[in-house]
Amino acid sequence: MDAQKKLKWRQRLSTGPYLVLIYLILGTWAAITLFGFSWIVLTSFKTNRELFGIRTVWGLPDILQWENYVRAWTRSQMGNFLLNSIWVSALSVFLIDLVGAMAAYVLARFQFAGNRLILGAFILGSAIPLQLITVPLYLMFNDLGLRDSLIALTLVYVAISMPFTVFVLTGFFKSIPTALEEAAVLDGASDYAVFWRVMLPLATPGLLTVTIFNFLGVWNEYLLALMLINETDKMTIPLGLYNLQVVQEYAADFTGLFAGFVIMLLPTIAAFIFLQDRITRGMTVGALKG
Amino acid sequence: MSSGGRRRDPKVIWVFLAPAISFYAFFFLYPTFEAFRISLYSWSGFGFDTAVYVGLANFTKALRDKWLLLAFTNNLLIMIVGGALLFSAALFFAVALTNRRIKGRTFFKTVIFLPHIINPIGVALLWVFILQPRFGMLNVLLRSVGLEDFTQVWLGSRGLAMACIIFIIVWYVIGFYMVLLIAGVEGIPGDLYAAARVDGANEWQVFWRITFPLLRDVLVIGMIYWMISALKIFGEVWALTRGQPANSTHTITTYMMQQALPYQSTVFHMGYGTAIAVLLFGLVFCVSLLFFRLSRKEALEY
Repeated sequence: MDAQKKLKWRQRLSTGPYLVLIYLILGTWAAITLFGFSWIVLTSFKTNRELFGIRTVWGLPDILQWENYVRAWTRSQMGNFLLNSIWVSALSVFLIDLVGAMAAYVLARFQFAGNRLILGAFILGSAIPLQLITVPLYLMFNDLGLRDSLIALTLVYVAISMPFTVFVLTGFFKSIPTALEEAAVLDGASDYAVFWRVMLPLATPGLLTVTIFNFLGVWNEYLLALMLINETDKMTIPLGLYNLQVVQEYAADFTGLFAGFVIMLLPTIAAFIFLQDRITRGMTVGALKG
Repeated sequence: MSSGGRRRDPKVIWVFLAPAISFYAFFFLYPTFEAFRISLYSWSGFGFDTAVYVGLANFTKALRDKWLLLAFTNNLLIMIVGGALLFSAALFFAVALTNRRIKGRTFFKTVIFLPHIINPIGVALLWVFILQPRFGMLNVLLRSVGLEDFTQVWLGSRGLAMACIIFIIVWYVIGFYMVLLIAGVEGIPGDLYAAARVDGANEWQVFWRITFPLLRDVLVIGMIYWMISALKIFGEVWALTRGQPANSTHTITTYMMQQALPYQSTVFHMGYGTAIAVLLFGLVFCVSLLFFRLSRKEALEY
């Protein structure tokens, strides 16, 4: 009897006030994020005057100022940054997947002297902070005349993505049963055919994880781009955002800056909403394996 | 391997490995070795022929550099103070959002994770706007509810700027650690909870006796990963304050970039900057070894 009473009391404790507290904390955290983002979007539709007016800064804009977006797009080369980012990310990810999968397949399926050593050398790369290679790369690209080259930047992105990609894909290839491969060989397929026709299609889930992780990594990369790209029309989005801040602040065009910011964020947020599950999974697994 | 009896063409091995190895060696390993060499030179950044070999002078200078020490202290501050906030909040979110009685779990998960998909520069800009002293959302909000006295030049005051940076970084990365811990909580067998309920344990006891001990491995991995991230932190700080005011918010990386980066700064100490990067590499490498060790042992599988 007494025990039952105690149990009830405990259960009430664990539902009532606790629950309110939990919602309060979750709600506050979510509110900070949502308020922040919606304030930016709201401000991007205001006039500069509304932004600085004590009463209007927090309210809705009188008239939606689409001109802010036109200005942001034309004056600050936003379209250019977007195209550069798309081009660099797409090419990087394609090359990373291709080159990484080829290496991983061999490392997972062939036994030869140096196999483990090579895999180890690849994995070791994930312990090297990128700051270490900034100055040498700058020097190297200067000598080769490759500064401000998006292709060169792409090749660097392929190189720095190898540790994670090879590691994850090697693990993935190892987990695929060998039966299908053996059947293909019996049918007379060459090693190349086995890779292209059998193994690569089977590795699609692994490739997807790797693709999402690397795409976001390259899309958001800032440090190396900052070091290797100086011309404004070669800038990728993170670099362009930073540049935008400097340019618009000189012009005191704050609402234009807000609009530019929204344009830059839109593709990422849209992608996130559609691919949420895959992205969260790809990112966490990725970071842990890498 | 089990595709055993068949003779494999050894040429395939090298044809398939060559592209990956060339990219990796040329654009990653070679610059890494170069970094160690450059760190032994005093170099202004204008053509390497102007560089002067100074041996380990850059390193002795670095170890006596009080600004570098301050920057390192800031990294530790982010790691420890930020880490405490980060892990208590992430753990709280993970437990709350795996509790079936909480409504709107997907919504909260999405919103909490959302900042993490933006690039660090975007995150910094967002907060530069929000914390802007004149028209920023925070000060405007404070004024509108009559708390005029609490308005601040958030990113322009010593101490306060660092506090803001720490909060922003936590806000930015928390989604990642939350998802990680959620995966951990979901991996705990449900019958353990059922048994605890039958025994009449309350939420609090369930957390400390079951959830927390069983999450330990995931937590340890997460914490080491956080330590590495805190040492390497760059973009957020760079775009938020550039190490200002009065160089009080530099981290190792922003200080290094200020020393080494062409066009962005007035000093060009590329050799010295690279030496700092080598020291950072030493730190990160040690923590990474720990990470490899543990993550292999735990054999995390998703």
